[in-house]
Amino acid sequence: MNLIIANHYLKDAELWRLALGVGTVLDIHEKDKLKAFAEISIKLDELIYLKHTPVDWVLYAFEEKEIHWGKFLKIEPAVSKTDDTIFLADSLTGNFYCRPHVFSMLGGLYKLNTQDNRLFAESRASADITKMLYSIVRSGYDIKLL
Amino acid sequence: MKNIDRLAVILVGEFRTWVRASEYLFKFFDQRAHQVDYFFITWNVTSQTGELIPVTEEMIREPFDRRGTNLINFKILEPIGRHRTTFYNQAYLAKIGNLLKKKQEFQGSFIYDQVVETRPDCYFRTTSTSWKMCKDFEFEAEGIPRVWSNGLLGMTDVYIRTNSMTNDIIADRYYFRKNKFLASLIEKSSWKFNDHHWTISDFLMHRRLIFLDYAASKSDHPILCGDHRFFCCIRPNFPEDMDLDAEDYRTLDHLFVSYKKNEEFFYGPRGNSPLVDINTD
Repeated sequence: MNLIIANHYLKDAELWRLALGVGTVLDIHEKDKLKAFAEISIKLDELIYLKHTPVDWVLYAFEEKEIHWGKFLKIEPAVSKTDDTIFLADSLTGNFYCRPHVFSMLGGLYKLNTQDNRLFAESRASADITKMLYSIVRSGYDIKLL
Repeated sequence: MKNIDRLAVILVGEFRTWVRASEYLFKFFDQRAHQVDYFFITWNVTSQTGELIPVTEEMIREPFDRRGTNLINFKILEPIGRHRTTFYNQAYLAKIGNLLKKKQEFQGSFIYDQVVETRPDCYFRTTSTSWKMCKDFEFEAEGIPRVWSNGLLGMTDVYIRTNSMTNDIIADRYYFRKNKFLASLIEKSSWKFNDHHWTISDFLMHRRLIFLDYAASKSDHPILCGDHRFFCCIRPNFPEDMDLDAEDYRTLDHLFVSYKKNEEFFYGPRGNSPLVDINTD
């Protein structure tokens, strides 16, 4: 399995890679979550489309205790390469697994216009979470807990 | 008519008649935006008459340099040779163009107001009305996805305008797969829909994107609204001394359609049927 560990704040991502036995670590430098998604999306596109590196899965790694590798391995064989689902580890704010193409949508979230959309004024969730949920639903992606 | 501050134009496709088309494309977009940034992604060969001609950096740059237009970035790529089809060839180039656009925005800390993905060999006749801005998840295209004569949904795929965020979604279609079994069934009964026209339409529906409704704008003449009111691909049979803007659209349409007998030259070794199994690379 060609797994990219998009490392956004793990203390030692390399140690996790060794523990899992698979993967390539991609260090993300943007602090802001949505800008970090944009950075991941650019780096993934470069890997896949310019360097022709096969990428099957992306683990967005933000929380040390939310890798949930065993749970992921159980669902992984049943998920199509074209699947649009974001598989959350524990919560909307933490880690998740997805197919690489999903990051094309996530990478554009920071551009979403919130000014003319009452949804954002009325939502009790954070702006980042609201943008994420709105775009997932609006453009036909899916979300699921592992 | 310039109601866009910063417009990105992503030209994707075979080089073909770019030198001829460029003067009209530059004029078409210059009327609409205060700043137009171009990205150009093409293959390293082009074929118009059956002969493969190498595409060079100079061939791409020359019209930009002559006109003083803003070529931000370009790529000349080896043919992918994987899904040898119109849909996947275009999708691949669109993805690279989108990548260059995203990097430009990310590194420059700005967002393009609108983005157009189109081809380097097309002619568009402008309208006299202002462009309506595409919001999130909206697109303006050359023709609405519509039910064609045999009941399936299709659309022309030569021009798609969106905002920047929606371009990120639309440009990500290389991974999109048609079910080979289903496509084969449709192909038997409906040959016209075995190609890119219904695959792109299907993708836009899959992503739940909405066609920009010019008819709902305030204009009394919605038919004259839209980004353009006529388009054709410029083929090698278009007379060199002909001013396309001065010609009746029927003359151009006749030239375009009458060249179709030579179209196999354009496809070269490619087919036009995007039949790929769901789980294959």
